Amino acid sequence: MKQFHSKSLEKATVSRRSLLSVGGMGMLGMNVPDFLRADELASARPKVMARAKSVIFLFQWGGPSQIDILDMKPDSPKEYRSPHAQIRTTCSDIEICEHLPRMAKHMDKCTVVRTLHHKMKNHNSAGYYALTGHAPPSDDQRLRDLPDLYPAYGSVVSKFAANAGNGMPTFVSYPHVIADGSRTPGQHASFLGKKYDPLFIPRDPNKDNFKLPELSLPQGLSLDRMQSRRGLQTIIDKQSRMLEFSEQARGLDDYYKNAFGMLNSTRVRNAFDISKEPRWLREKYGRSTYGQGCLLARRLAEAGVKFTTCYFSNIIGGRSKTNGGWDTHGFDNTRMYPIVEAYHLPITDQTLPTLIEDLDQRGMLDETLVVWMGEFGRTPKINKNASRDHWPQCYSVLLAGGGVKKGFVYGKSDKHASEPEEDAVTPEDLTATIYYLLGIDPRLHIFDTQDRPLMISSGEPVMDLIA
Amino acid sequence: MSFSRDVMAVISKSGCNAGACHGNQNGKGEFKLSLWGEDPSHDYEKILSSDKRVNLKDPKSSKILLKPTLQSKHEGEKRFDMDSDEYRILLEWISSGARTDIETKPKLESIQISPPVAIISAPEQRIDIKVKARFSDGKQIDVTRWAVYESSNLMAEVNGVGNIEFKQPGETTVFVRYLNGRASMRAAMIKAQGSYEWNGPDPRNRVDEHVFSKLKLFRQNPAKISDDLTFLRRVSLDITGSLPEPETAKSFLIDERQDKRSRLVEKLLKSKEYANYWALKWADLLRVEEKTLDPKGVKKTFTWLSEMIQQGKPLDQFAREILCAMGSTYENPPANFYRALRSPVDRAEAVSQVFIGTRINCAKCHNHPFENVRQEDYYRFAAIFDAIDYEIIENKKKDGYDKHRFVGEQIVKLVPIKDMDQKKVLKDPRTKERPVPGFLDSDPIQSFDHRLDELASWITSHSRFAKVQANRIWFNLIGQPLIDPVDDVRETNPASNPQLIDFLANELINNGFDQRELIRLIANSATYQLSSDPEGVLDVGTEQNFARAKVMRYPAEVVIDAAHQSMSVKAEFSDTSKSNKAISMPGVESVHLSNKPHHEDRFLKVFGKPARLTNSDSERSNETTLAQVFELTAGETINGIIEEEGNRIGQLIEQDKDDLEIIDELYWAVLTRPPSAAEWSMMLSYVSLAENRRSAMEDVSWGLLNAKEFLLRK
Repeated sequence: MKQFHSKSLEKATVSRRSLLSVGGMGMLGMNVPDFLRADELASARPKVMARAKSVIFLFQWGGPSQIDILDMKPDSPKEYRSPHAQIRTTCSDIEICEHLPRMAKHMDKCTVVRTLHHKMKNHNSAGYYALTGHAPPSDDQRLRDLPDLYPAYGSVVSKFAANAGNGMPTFVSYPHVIADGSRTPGQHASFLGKKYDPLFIPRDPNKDNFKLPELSLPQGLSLDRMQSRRGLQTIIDKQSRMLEFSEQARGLDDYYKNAFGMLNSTRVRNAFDISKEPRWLREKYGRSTYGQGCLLARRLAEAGVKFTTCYFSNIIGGRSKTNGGWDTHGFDNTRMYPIVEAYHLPITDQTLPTLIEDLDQRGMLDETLVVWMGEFGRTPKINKNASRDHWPQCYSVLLAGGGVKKGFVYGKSDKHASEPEEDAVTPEDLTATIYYLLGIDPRLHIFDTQDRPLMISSGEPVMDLIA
Repeated sequence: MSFSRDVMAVISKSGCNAGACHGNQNGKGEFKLSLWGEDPSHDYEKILSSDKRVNLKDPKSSKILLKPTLQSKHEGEKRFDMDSDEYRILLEWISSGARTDIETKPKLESIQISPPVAIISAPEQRIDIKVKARFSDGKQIDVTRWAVYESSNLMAEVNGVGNIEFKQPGETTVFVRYLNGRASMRAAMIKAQGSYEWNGPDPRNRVDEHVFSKLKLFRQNPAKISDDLTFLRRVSLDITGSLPEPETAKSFLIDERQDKRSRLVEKLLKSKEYANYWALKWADLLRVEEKTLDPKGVKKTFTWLSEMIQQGKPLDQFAREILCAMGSTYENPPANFYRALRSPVDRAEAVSQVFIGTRINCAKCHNHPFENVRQEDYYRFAAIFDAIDYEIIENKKKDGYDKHRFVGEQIVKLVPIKDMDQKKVLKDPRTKERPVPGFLDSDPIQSFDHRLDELASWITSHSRFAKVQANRIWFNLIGQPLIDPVDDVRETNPASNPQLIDFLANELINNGFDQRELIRLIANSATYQLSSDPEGVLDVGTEQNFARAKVMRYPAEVVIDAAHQSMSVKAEFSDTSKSNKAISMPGVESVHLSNKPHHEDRFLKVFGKPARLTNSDSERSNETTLAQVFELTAGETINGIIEEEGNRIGQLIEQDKDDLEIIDELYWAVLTRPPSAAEWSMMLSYVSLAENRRSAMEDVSWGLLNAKEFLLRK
């Protein structure tokens, strides 16, 4: 059943007049009917105030260990304890891994959630859960990317809080499509519809010629020539009269206006032009794909992109000191600790504190929420390969900026970081918190392929971690 | 006060059991009610589960009174006042002991709305409806005050006592529920009486009679009949998914025979492209994709579908062949239908949605909110399919963890009852018992071993079978279904023109389920042939009422094929079959399963070619997006076609054609029309002023391929 609206249950909180005034928003985003529908279906709760203007979601594919990084248990028995020592940080309540000395200097700006938990033990099902905040239908190692699965966070943001008027897309993701054997669901708009898909950039921001494909014309095609072509198109459209009588045709033409606007806009071009950053800053983030991805995320947040997802790696990895994600089982006679010491921890200590510091120095941290998390943590007990396996029962997330508390720990795990002991947080609650911080009511409805009304989050915002 | 009648009505009326509130699957604030009150026993138990929620000693301090009146904090805000009937009913019920009468009270049999259809004309704006409930003791009671109302369209609002208020002329469906009763009615407001005069063409067949009589009722006129070239282009693309060649168009234009349009329809229906294009639509619905079927199975299935359509296999027999298909997925292609659906519930959902337009998956977790399908019916129907199993001859998949991927032949078989693996017997998850296999209207199957034959007979004789097939054919030709969504046929989702859908469904039955015959009927109607341009018509109606041709983007495959064909560039897609046309690409592997898709595959994905992972018509997206426009402006596909050395531009230059001739030919090839005098002179001056003639012709071609009339149905 399509779009039923009951006056008795749902009060519109935005007047029709203010609706008309948003008619110009369209850039990769919403159109008026969607906005209308979103608003009509908003629950009666008063409008949530936005604390965060942007989210930078740093997805740690493969699953970083909680007990070796943000929730260390130095007093636990040897078979549990991390071989790494923990060090004090600028926040007296938080101690973290000794391999993150730079991060330690910025923990006074962060909140650590130590009790995120769920039940999905496979990368794709847990990854989908972490990228959407909704439990997958089954814990399937090769969960299929079905159109009735939930959309990515950024797509929901595009639907309900699209950028108005700054010419920038709402949701950008890069530089990989993540997969574990098959493509991980949760990276696109799914049943919300293609117009809420991310602007996805399958390119390496660390490369010298990094450019947005959409803003790069094929060789030999100048911007002037594109303008001439647009002129010819206009002549033909005038002849067919379609722009006069068809809303469809006008809608399509608006996209041409947007596309040419983006092609011509130095602002949009600049936002994606990472080469404009000073060399020392590029070096500070590190000349790696992920490092430059973090820097690009800051640039995009600055230009007004609302939700940027930067994937740490395309694969779960864990066996290499030079690439891949955090999946350090110790398979193939590899060992977790030499690998994370050589690769994952140094790159994290180079990027995450740099991003937080950079945002802070620009005065952007208070309105930019940084989320650093993986799909699960790792087994509290060290395995026979001197490594750790998957552990969704309890793991840690780092949040910074965007209205969350500074220098704060939420939730307490048990003595081995194996189960939440106090203040357990579900992925649903974390999702609700992210939406809440962005000023989006977590109880808003979206409609799936069967037109069933579904809530964007079935959790509750964790109000205690909001400043 | 009665729990089952009064208290349950208050709970629904106040919205407590809505999906966003306590009716949510997780409840709210640790209090869960059944969605829309489908399960009163469950609700009774929950309400009584805390003596704070219902305080028998001090009724007024019960939470179910304090919270909705905001005497204590309630996230769901105020639901009713303390001096309301709602409050009084709950208080009296608690005061008298909060007892249940679910077992003893007469059951609700049905609700009726009066009037069932209502039309008013401006300045009148209000329609008042009444709702009557009939109970099992024969009593009829007016429940207007206690029913819940929802309007499908924002132009009309319904208040809590059944007053529909229109803000502007238009149509809406009002959906009403009371306890477990559901009903709907259609209401419309038409423009004020005035100087309206019917100005449409004469009806050519019964389709037009039904469409025009509704237009007359709404005091609207249809657009004019479209010109020959617009019709030629539209009908060719709608029936065959392929553009007419310039020569075809020119000879059609000068053909003076009166019946040239219906002759054209005949010709198109005989073409190979017709069969392939409609096979593509069925392949979308039947999950013809390589991960589960493997490339060979996909190709076999697509070829089979195309042959069935080419042969004109009656749709009921076609359905039967699919529903009963057993054996090798390589030797008997329709067996791939069950190969694609690996579990009994998937098969049940797909069969009911594709063949009888009934979406039952709501009932997997709770009784269907809009239909008379209970959770037990769902599992009973699914149990029909639990004896289907596979003999996996080989599986050459490389990824051992991927249980969805199969590479190799399989035998689909119906396992005899004595050989059934007990682990595979479907159980109702609530009772852990095996349901008696049966159909949705509750008849059990007669014979275990002939269950699929019985299923096919039940499906093809179901009243919704012809309806959903007719609706689908109408949708595929006209672009706007009569029942929307296409595969959601039910009492509570009425058609926009009920007489028309009934007529089309009956035609389909009477002509022996001949799809071509129905296409013929529709394509030869004046309605189909109306212009999309309303110019020069007073009181012109809307696309929704079929008063003018619907403007919409053509499907991904049609756009990419038309771009190649019009520029005379041979396509070769990167799928296993190396298809030359996207409409006859059997599967989706190169578009959706490849890690490094070719730019043409990316084009198809961006334009909405479905991954075929559901059995729904709505998986295909025909919306327009900014990403599509970037494909058309900066993408390799269109620019590659334009720049290809030996394309139509190259051929025409090679033939020493002058600028005028080339421009003329490009217009015919891309837009199926000659340039207007104004276009001719502007294009000509653009080309003659350009430094590079070839580049200038490429620019003209880009303009044509990006014209609204190229991308959109006109």
